[in-house]
Amino acid sequence: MNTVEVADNQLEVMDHIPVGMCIINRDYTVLFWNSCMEDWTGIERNDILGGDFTGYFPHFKEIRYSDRISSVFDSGAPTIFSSQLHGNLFRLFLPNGEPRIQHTTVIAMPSSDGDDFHAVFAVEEVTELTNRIAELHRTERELRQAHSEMGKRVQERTAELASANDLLQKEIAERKQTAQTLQHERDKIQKYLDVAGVVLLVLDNHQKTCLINKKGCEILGYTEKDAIGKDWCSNFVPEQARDEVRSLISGLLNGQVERYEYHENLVLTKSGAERIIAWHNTILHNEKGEIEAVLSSGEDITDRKLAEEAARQAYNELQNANRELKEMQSQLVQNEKLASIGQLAAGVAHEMNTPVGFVASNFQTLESYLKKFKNLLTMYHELIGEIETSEKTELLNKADIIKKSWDDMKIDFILEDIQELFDDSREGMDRITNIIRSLKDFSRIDQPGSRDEYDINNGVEATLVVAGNEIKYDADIKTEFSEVPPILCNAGQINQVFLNILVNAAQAIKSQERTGMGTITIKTYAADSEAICEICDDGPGIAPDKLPKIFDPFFTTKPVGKGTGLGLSVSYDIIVNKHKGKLLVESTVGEGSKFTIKLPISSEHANDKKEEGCVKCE
Amino acid sequence: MKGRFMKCTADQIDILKEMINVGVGKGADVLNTMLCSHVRLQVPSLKILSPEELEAELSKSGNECLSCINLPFKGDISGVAELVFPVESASKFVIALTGEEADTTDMDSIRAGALSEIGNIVLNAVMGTISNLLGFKLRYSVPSYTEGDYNSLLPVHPSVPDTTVVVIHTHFVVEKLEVEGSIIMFFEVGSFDKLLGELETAAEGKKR
Repeated sequence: MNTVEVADNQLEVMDHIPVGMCIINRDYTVLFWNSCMEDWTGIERNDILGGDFTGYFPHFKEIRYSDRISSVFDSGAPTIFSSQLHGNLFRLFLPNGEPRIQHTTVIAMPSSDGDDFHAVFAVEEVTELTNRIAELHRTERELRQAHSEMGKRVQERTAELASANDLLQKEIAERKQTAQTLQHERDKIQKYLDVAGVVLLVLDNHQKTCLINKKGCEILGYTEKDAIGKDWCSNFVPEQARDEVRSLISGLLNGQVERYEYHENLVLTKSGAERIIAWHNTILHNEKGEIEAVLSSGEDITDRKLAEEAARQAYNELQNANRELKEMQSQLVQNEKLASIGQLAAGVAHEMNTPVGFVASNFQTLESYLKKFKNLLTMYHELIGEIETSEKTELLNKADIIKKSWDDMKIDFILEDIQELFDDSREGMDRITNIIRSLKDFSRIDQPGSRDEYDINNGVEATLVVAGNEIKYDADIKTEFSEVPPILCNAGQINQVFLNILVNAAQAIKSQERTGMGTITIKTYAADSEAICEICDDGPGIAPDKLPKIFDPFFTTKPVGKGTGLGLSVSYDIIVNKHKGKLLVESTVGEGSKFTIKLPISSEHANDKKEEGCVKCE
Repeated sequence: MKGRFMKCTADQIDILKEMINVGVGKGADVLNTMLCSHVRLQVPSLKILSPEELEAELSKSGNECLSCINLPFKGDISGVAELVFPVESASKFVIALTGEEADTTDMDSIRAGALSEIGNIVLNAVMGTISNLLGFKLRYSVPSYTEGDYNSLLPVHPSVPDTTVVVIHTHFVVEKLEVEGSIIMFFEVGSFDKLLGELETAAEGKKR
């Protein structure tokens, strides 16, 4: 069986496939050899056909191959020689010397007689595939190695990171510890701050609250959380004080002001109430020495302020009461004084009245006596003249002596002068009488609180008599009296007012350095049911700033000791309070002053008072 | 399962198991001779199932990807003999068997080729033993390699009646590696009965 049992043309198809094909029989005689096998092995088909397969490929005699191949012949079961397990099964090499890797499948082909099997080898070249896969595996291995190295590096890096992290954690822990310590310190300080009875406040350089103690929170009514980080002025200062406070704080933050020892300012509480705080402010520096905050301590002085205000009010009330008391006292004193002066004047007047009365009476008698003596002397004078006509020498001598004595004694002059003396004396007596009456009129001390009908013109005149001496060397008095209905008043008091104003006018004029006499004009008239008396002087006038004060008690422009400061005050009291009248003053500096006294004329009132006065008189 | 299994006598099963053991042992011998390695093959269990029962059995493995070497046969009896491993185990098995220095257990066509050869050896040995001992004449196709879940490995539809499946659980032990796999034999309609008949004859002969 040296020839292929199948037709050549049937097997020719196998020359055109890229698979090595050969067929052998049980004796290992080669029955077919395709061109692919020729190419790979370099063995020509014609050379090998019919030849011994194991002659060319002796290793197929080995049991590991022969056993397998024999199963094809025996049972027709196919056999696979895989590339992995057998590699270069046919011991073939590529032109470059590299082994050809093959995957060979051996299948059974029934022999033409059907009694036996031939073995058909189909040899696939898988060199490239194997190489590729090997390379793939290598690459994979490298990748895996790289991956593992990477993993290792990652691990190392992770470890480094972990250790860095540990360090960091440690640092964080330390910082935490520090922060805790700081917090602890801060808490402690906060506790101290909270115990303080004053507000403690720190504002940063944006004027925002960065610290406030418990007391501060209590006063403001906010929690610490609410207060921290807020703009101080726009949240906790009432609008009206905002600009001032802001500029104060700015001044500190700008370094213009080192500290404010004390300033009071308002804060606005949550409820909208305002509290007065007395602040002490100072600045805080950071480690670079820059101003970074303002530290303020403040005391709530609202209650104290209220108490102070209440005390001040009470004090003012007390002062007013005191002043009223003083006034009252001074008026009492003045009244007493007036009363005393009145009493004295009345007493003096009364005491003088009697001797003046009998002096006047005696004087009258004396005058009549003198008249008789004058008549008698005239008769004597006539007798002398008649004797001269007689021749009786003795008589004549005696007459001469008498005549001589008459002349020597200037009896004629005496007789003329005596009359003049009497006339003068009588006038003096009249004047004394008049003064005494005026004194009595002025004082009316016998009824200090009573009211009587009063003629204002008479009152002014009486006062002028009393004050004349004070005035007459400094000023001329001009009176312009009109008829004024009587008013019902306390004449003594009203006269006192006239006296005060007149004496003041005279003293004012006297205080001036002036060449001539001053003039005081007194005008009386009635208008609108009022009795009016104007007293004008041409003195220095009263400065406008002093004008409102002249009726205040104890206000005086006179040198110490010259005035009590009570005159006009008392006058005002008398006219305005006691008689419901008006006391007005107008003054121009350098021109003089005008005081106007207005007293009401009320007939009804006057009648009542008159009756009352009458009753009192009785 | 029970019904079909009931058809078999204990003797028949013993003989079948023994024949398979012999075949597997032969296969192991061939492997050892060829590879100069020490492969041991054991057959711990044998089950006779319907395709449905097989499906239920295989479905226990879930969607695991399996490697499968098929050896279809025709002749006095017809069917398919399969050697089945989980892909990863199969790959590891090849690596261990060839002494390859490998970092990956991925299955590639080279390894698949090697696995095919191993399957070829084992299945040839088993089928060869059975056919020799029972005097069957068989024609074999070239073994092929496939991968997929258990569904794709079933050569017949589970619902096809009268197909019988013989599942032989095997242990491959190479060096320290122990790989479990299965030899599954599908018999076409009538083939298993024929097998049983021959087994019966063999059993009787044995008794005699």
